[in-house]
Amino acid sequence: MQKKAVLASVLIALVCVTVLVAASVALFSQSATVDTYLNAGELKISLVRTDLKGRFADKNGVLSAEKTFTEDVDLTDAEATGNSAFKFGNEQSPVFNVPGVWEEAWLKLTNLGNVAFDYSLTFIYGEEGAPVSGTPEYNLANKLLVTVSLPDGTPIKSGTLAQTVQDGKLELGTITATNAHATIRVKVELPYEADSVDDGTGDTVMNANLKFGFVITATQHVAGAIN
Amino acid sequence: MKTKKATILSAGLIALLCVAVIAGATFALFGVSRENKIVVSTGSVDVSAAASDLTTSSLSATDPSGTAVNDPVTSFATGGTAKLEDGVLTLTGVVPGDSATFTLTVTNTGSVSAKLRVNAVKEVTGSNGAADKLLLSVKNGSENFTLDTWACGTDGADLVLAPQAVLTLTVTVSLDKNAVQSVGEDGAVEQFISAATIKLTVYAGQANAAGTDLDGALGINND
Repeated sequence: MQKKAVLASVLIALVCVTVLVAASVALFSQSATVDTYLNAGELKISLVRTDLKGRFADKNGVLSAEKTFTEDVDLTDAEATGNSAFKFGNEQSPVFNVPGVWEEAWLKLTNLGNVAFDYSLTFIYGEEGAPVSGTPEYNLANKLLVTVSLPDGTPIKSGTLAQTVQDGKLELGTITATNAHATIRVKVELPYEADSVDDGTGDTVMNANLKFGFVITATQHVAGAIN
Repeated sequence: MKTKKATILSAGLIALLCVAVIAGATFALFGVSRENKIVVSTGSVDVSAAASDLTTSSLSATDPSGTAVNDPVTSFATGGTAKLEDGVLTLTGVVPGDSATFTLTVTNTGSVSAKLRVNAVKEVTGSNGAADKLLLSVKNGSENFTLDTWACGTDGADLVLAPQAVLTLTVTVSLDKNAVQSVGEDGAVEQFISAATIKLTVYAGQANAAGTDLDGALGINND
């Protein structure tokens, strides 16, 4: 019957319109989020003396036979702990050293962080600075022999303390992986000269009190130039 | 019945990437350093030697021992004299049997242990054989002390003195009582000893040095 069909069509149209007007219209859209995560690496080292060999002087200047100490000494915070790589004595417990004394320390440098680094060694004078010419300390600085070697004893550098300080930083190598390590040997010696006598006059090293030290520096390894 | 047809519109997807740009005029590398301090103090070798406590004796016909201590100490029985001043012993007008004894105190005034030796050099002007009659005796306690060698300690070992330690030696200079005064061809009596010196030198060296090395360094001739 025609009348019923017409009525049905009209009804649908109205329903649709009603729906369109009442609902809120949301545009099709989408978003994407990219998370950016930046983690700064950590350059962290430990420095430990693993062995110390030498002829050591006691408080009376008597030299021992050659002996070796094998206990680990943590030098990482040496400035705070007061630990030293050597047993030449200190201001609290002085030892009177004589020609013939020598000490060699095995130093183990470990990468405790996650940044590869280049490492170097620099000998420096203490807080008093370079000794004054003509003093026993000056003479001693020009007598002490310093040798830096590979673990197998192959020398990397050898010279008087004075010359070594003047030469500055000694680049030694690179440590890349976490927990990787390298060992270097550092020897300090007051040589014994058989045919000459130091009688306390002239270029004497008697009664000298020389302060110096060494600095191990680790700097992040950079491949190529930084622009 | 009509079915609904839904028409799907697709929209383009736009992703925004945020790029963080690190820009800076200075670039600080990561780095750490560790310093280790060292102090080297050297000692000193030094000795002092002092002569003191002079006594003299001469032959005595009345003393059962055959000798007698002189009083005052500066005079011998037959008129000779003895003087100990500024480390120098001076004997004049001595006759056989006269002897002078003094204490030689050696102190290690350095800061390190040192080995010692005492050298004696005798120079005599006088008759033939007079030098052999001028006698020198050095004792360390009751033991004879060996001169002219580093091996002057107990059982021939090196003698090492610790800092501030003292070695006390007893030194006796005498004219052998069996010395015979010589007479010249003209019958005149010759002065047996007209002049004589005995020079005692104390040498010290660091305890770890070999004796031969110290001899070379100190210019000691052992011939």
